[in-house]
Amino acid sequence: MKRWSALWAPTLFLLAAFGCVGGGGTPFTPPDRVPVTIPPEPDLSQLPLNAEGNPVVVQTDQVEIAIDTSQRGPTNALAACMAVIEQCWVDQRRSSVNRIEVMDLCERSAPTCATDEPWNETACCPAACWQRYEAARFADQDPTAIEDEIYFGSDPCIPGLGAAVGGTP
Amino acid sequence: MNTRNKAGLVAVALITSVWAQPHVRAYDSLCRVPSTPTSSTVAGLGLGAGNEDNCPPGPAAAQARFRIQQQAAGSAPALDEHRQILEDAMRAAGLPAAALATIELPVYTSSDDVVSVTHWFRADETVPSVMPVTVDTATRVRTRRYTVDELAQLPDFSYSLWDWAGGNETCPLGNGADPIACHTFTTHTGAVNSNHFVPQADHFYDRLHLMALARAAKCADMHGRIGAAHAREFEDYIKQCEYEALTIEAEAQHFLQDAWSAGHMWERWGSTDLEDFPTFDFSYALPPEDQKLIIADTVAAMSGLIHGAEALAGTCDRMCCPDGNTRFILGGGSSEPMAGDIHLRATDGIPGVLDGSDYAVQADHLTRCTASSVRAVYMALSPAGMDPMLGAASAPSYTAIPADQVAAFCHGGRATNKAMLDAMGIDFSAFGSRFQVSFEGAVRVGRYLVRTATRGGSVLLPDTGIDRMSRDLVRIYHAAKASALDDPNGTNIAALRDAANQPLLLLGVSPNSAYPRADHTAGYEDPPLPWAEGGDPKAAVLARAYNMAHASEWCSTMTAEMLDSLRSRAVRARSRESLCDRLPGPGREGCDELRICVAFAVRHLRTGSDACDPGQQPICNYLKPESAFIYQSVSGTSPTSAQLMTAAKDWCLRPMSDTAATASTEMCTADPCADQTACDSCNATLGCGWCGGTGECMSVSRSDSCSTGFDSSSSACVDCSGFTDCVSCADRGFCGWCPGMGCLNDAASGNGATCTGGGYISPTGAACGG
Repeated sequence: MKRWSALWAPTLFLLAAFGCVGGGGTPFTPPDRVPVTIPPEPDLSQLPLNAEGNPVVVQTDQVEIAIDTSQRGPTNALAACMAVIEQCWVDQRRSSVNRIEVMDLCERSAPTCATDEPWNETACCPAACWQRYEAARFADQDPTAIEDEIYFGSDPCIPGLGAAVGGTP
Repeated sequence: MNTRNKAGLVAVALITSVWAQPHVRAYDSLCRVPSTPTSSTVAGLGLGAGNEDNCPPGPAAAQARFRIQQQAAGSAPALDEHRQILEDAMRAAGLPAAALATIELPVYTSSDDVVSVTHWFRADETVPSVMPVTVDTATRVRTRRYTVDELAQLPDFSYSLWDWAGGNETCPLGNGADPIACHTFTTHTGAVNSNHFVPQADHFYDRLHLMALARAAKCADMHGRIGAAHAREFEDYIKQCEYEALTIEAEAQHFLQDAWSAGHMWERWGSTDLEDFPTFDFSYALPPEDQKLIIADTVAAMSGLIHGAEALAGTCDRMCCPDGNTRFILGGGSSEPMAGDIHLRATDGIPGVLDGSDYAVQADHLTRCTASSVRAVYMALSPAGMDPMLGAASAPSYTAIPADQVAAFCHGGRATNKAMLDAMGIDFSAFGSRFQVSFEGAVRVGRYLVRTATRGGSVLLPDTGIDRMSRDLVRIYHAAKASALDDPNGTNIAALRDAANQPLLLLGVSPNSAYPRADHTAGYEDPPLPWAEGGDPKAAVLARAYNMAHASEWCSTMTAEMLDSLRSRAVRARSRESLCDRLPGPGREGCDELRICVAFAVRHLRTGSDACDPGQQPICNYLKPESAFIYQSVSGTSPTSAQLMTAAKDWCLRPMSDTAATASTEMCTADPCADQTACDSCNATLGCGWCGGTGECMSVSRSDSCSTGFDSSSSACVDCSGFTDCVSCADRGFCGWCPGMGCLNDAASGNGATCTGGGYISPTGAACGG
């Protein structure tokens, strides 16, 4: 019996850690919100500017990749939402041991966007994102898989993102 | 300016050159145009000091040297690092000095010139072509010079060895690009350089190393067939073969070395084949091949940001710059610190991979793998009981890797999740500090604009593409962040997979481990062996460039008719010689046909007392005994190499009306006649006849040396001696009755001519009567 336990304990741990048994085998309970830090926007002012005055990321004689800071849209909102959640992961000391709990907590705690144009707001996550995340967690899905689906799948929770990327995952 | 001294410059000064070249170069590669290109020594090349390239991409690069002059003591280390690593490996492996000597490779080309540099407002610059052409169309001999270690840099300037052998004069991508653009890193080669990153780098190394070993075995076979007694006579052929095998290994070493450079220890998106990239909905007309190139270039640019661009940008990028925090994992072991591009040696107080103990594990794998790999090829050059023609190897100075552990030990490691996360951004320095804008951060504050140059002008990636790229970059960064927190020493991000093992695509492009598909390999790879004329065009280029190394194949290829054709062309060229002599430089139209004829004729030239004298046989006699031969008399029994060349030249200039000069395919080497000891088997052998006077079988062509009784007819061997009467004798069909001498072989007796008493009754003649 002892030997059996020694064999299965790490296996169960791994299965739980990587979501092969859904959200960890325990019923999902929505966590209470905690304060989250809004990470500052990166400062691009020290990047060189191209002829149009946009900060340049890459420039060769074949390709120029620049950033037009005057344009805002769904991808900005996606990046901002992710940045908030990732900052929360760091603040909550996410690790392989507490992965599920921290992911639940941070999804729940991200500031909820107030409008349908979140790219014009302070970093936030649309309400639909938590709603879909919560529903999937109640269905015992793994947080990583849920995030991949609701943010980067064919029908993302960020307004306008699905149309912007042409519906491709 | 030395790139190392640029650290600390503001971003404005560097970002315009970010990714401009170096991300392919792990470690670094440099190309220089020597001021004395014909020098047979490196010291005499006049390569100049400094660490900058001065050879334009394309044909000019192929004809330049992939090295720089040794830097003066106290100056920054030379940045031809790939070459340095191989040179160090060859020395550690105990290879003789000759292995690092300058190779002179005469190649037979057309008289064409090719554009090497284009200009808007003045005439383009050109160089004489070095593309080897068929010998019956070649009019010019160009000599290419290099050392084996230089070609460890080849994959940074050419797509493959055959591309380099062809002078970078075509576009191996097959997309119709001109050779210069096609070989420009920022426009083409960088787009498909995913094979410089693991695991494709491992695969390319494995394939090329095996090819080098296979060629080495062929060299040993050539050496063995020629034998120790004659090896010195044909050392140029054996040596070129040995150099060719080492050259293939040099190309292989580039990928082996890349696999042990920090910036390349991840599975960079993309394929070696443009065909594998997706097309895109560009709303305006754009050929599919251009769409694929745009996607490939964009993906390469983002990959370059992960790899970093320190060599040009001067900023100590996160992945390659040694700081002890960037680590790799090998085979599930512990994480080890790693460094990469331009940090092979210590400089400016920053430790190098090979200096000290900071990067001991990385250095150990790099040095032992490169040394054991090149030594394996060198040892395979040895025929049984003999050393390679380049000399005996001395004992290696490294601890050998057990043969069954080479693959596991030498295939590159993977950057940790933490290292990958740190690298996912735009590194730059400003006011003495390092800054980074992450992939995600850049998306957060604006909108990417991707502008790409195409043949039709500058185009912008459509909005949908921009949004997909932005979405993909956020997803990739998000996955990296998660994995770096959950499993900082894991390697799933280096494999471009999230924690759930889902691939992290960029613009629809998969990690390089997904390519090549089994049914779709890179079109520019070196072709499989053997390399010979008449098959795969790429193989033909290599067989022509290294035609002495492939003497065995050429002995078969070169028919008697082709030899006579070379002679015909040489004779015609000779008639134009006065005109040729007035033409300048190496572009003298038609003047080198004689040299070309001599180069091949001498391989088939017999010069002994007759064409079958075994003491004076050409190399083809040893390699392909059935090959065509020519004969030219030479005085003396042991002609020197110069005498043989003169004899070949004499043959090449014999007029076509001289039928005695005609090349032949008659079997002579393994003299089939000499093996026959009986008349009937002798005369049954094509080209042989029985010499009754001496009782030996000899070639019909030597019948003059048979004083009596030579006959090659099959009937001449019928034994008629046992018949004692006319009837039984003549009934044999091949015997005749001589009243005074008895039963004679009709053919051997010359139809009764030897029946001196008269009254001969032939087999088909009158009856014997009563």
